[in-house]
Amino acid sequence: MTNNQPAAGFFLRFLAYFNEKLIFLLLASLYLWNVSKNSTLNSVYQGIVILLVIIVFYFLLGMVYTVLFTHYFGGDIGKLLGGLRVRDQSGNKLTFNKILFRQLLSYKFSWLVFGLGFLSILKDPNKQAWHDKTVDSNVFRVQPLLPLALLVFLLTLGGSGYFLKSSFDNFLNSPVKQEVLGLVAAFQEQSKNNQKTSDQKISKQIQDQQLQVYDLMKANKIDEALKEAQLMLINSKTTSEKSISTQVIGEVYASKLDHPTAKTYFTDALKLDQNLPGAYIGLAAANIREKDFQQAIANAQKAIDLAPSRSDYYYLLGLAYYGAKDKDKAIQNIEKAIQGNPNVEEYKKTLEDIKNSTSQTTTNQTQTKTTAPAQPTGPGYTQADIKSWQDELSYINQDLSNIPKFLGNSSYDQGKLNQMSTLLDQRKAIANQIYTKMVNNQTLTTQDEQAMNTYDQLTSQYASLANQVFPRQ
Amino acid sequence: MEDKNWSISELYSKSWQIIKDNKILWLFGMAAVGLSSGSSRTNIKSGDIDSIRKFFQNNDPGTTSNKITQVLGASTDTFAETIKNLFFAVPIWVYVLFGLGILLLILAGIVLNLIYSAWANGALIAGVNAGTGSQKPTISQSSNNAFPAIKGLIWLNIIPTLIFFLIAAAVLGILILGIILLPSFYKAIPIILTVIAVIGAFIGWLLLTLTQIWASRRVVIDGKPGKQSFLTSFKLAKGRFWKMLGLGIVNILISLAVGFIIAFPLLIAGGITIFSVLFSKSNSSLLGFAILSVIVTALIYIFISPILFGILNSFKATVWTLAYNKIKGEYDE
Repeated sequence: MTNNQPAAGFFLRFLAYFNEKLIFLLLASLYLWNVSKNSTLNSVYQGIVILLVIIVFYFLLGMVYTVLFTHYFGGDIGKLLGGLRVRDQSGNKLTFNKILFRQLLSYKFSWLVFGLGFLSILKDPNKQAWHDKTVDSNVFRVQPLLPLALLVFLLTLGGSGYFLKSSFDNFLNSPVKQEVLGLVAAFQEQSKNNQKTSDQKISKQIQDQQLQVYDLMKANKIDEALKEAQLMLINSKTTSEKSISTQVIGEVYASKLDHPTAKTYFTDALKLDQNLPGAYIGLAAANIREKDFQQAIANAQKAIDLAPSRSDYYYLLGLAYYGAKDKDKAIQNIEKAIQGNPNVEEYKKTLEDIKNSTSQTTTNQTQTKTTAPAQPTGPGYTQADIKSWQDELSYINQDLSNIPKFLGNSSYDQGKLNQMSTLLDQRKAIANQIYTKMVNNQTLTTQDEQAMNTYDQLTSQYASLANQVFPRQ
Repeated sequence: MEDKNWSISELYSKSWQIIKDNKILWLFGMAAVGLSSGSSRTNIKSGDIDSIRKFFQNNDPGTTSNKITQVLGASTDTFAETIKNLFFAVPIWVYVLFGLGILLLILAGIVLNLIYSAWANGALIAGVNAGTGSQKPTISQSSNNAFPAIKGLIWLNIIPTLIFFLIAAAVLGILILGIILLPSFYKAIPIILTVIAVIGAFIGWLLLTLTQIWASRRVVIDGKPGKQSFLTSFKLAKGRFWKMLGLGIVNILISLAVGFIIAFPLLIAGGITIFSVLFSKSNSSLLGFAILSVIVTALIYIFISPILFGILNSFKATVWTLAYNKIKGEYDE
C-alpha cells in the first residue's frame, strides 16, 4: 500500500487523544452519578469499590484494547472518530510487535522531557512524534472527520462535567453526607481517645519501680528510695508515667520532711495530670506542715473527690479539719476512714484522742512519714504526736551518722556538709526538747512554739543544702 | 596492527565530542537512567512494643480508668462497627478481583519496564556506536538497532545477576549455618571462610558488572546472543579487569561531581530558606523571598537535572563503547 494520505497534525492528534480519555471519563461519571443517587452509605461505598475495580481493569484491559484496535482497525476509538490511522511511514500496516511497543512503551519516550516528544509533531517535517520515530510509524488522516471529533469532544467533555457535578450535588444533598460526617467524627474521636489511652498507659516496669520505692520507704531507706524514684522518672515515657513518677518523688521528699521540695514535685505532677489524687493528698500533707489548714482541707477534698474509696484520705482530711479547729468535721472524717478500713488501729486511736482532747487548738497531724511531726501546744498528746517526734529524732540521728562518711571526700562540698551537720545538731536539740516535754505530758510554752517554728526553718535549710550536696538526677 | 589499549584522556575527549555533536544521545541517556533508577525503598519503622502494656493507675484504678475505657469503647464501637458494615456490604469476590487486578498491573508494569529499560540501553549503545563512526545517530535508526537486542539485553540483566546472587546467598547461608551450628572450637574455620567468601563475592560482583558492560555492547553492536556475549565478555573482563576498574572508578568520580553540581543549587536554596525562616519574624518579606527561591530552584532542578543525568549517562555509555570498540575481537572464537 502506498501512502497518499496526509500525516495528521498536532491539533487533530491531540483531539483524538483527549476524545479517547473523555469517552471513558463520560462512562465513569455516568456510573458515579448513578451511584450518587443511592441514599445509604453502604450502597455508595459499594458503588465506589466497583468503580475502583473498573478503573484497575480499564488500565489492564486498556492495554489489550489499544493494541488490538490499532492492529485490526488502525487506531483506538479516539483516533477512529477523528478519521486517523496508525501506519508505518509508507502507509502500510505496522507489524504486531511494533504496535505492541508503540502503544505500551514508546509513549513514555515522548514524555521524557516534559512531553517534548509530542510537541515534535509541530516541528517535524513528517509530523512524527518521538514515539512514532521509535517504530517508524506515523498517524495519517484517512477521513475528514474533524467536525465529528470536535462534536465528540464537546459532548463527552460537557457530559462528563454535567454528570460529575450532578454526582457531587447528589452527594451533598443526600443523607450519605451526614453518615460520612458522622463517620469522620467517630474517627476523630477515636484518634483522640487513642492518644489519651497512650498517654495514660503505665508500663509494668514503672509499676514495679513504684512498688520498689514504697518498699524502700517502708524500710526507711529513703536515699535509695529517692534514687529509685528518680530512675522511675527517667524511665517514664507516657504522660501518666511521668506524672506518677513525679508524684512518687514528691512522696519520697515528703518522707524526708523536705516539704517545700515535695510540694514542688506534687505541683509538677498535677501540671501533667490534674486527676492525681496522690499528688493532692501529698500537697494536703505539706499544707498541714505549713499550718495552712484551709488549703490542706481543699487539697484533701480534691483527692477524695477523685478517689472516694481511699479511707486514708479521709483520715488526712480529718487531721486537716482538726488543725483548722473544726473538731466535729475532724471526727466525722476520721470515722469515715475507720468505716472504710476498720483494721487500722491508728485511726481509732486518733479518733479517741480527738474526742478526749480538751483543747480545740491542738493540731494533730501524724500517721505516716509523709506528714510533718506534730506541733501540739498543750497536754493530751496522742501516741502519734509523740511517735512523729520520735521518728524525727531517729532520722536526725541516722543523718548524723551518715554525714561523716562523706566528709573528706572531695566529690562532695565539704563546707556544706559541715553546715548540714550543724543544722542537724540544732534540729536534734529542738526535737529532743519537744519530745521530752510530750513524753512527760508537759504543756508547751510560747518559747517551745517558737522553737518548733525555728525547727521548720532549719529543716528547710537542711533539705536545701542536702539537695545541693547530693543533687537530683 | 590496531592498538588495543586505551587511555582515559583519549576516551574522554572523544566521548565528549561525540555526545556534544549528537544531542539525540542525551534522550536515550535519560531514558536509560530514568528506568534504571526506578527501584523503590521502604523504611518500615519498628512498632513501639512497649506501648502495648496493661493499663494501670496507681492511685485509683477503679475511677478514671474505667470511665475512659467506657467512653473509648463507645466511640470505638461506632467507628469499627460502621467500617465493618461497609466492608461487608461489598461481596468478597469484588475485593479479590480488585487485588488480582492490582497484582496484574504491577506484574505488567515490571515486565514493561524491563523491556523499556533494555530497549533504552540498546538504543543508547546503538546510537553511540553510530556516533563513533561517521553516521549521525537518529531515534529511528537507534531504536531499530535496539529491537533485535532487547531479548539478549533482558537475559543479560536478569540471568547472570540472579545466578550470582543465588550462589552467593547459598554459600553465605551454609557458612553462617556453620558458624551457628559448629562447636565454638571449630567456629574459626567458617568465620575465616565467610570473610574470604564476602571478599570473593565483592570481586565477583565487580567482575559481573564489568562483564555486563562488555556483553551488552556485544549484543547490540555485534548482534550476538546474550549467553554467548556474556561468556566471551567474561574472558574480556578478566583480561582487562584492572584497566576496566580504573575506568569505572573515574566514571564514578565524574558521576559524583555531576551529582554535586546538581545538589549545589539545592543546598544554596536550602540555606536561603533556613536563613529566611529564622529571620522572617523581623522581616516578613524574607519569607516570601525564601519561598520564591525554593520554587525557582525546584523548577531549575526539575528541568535541568534529568538533562544533566541524561548527558552523564550517554557520556559514560560512549566512553565504554569506545573502549569496547578498541578491544573487541580479542577473545572471539
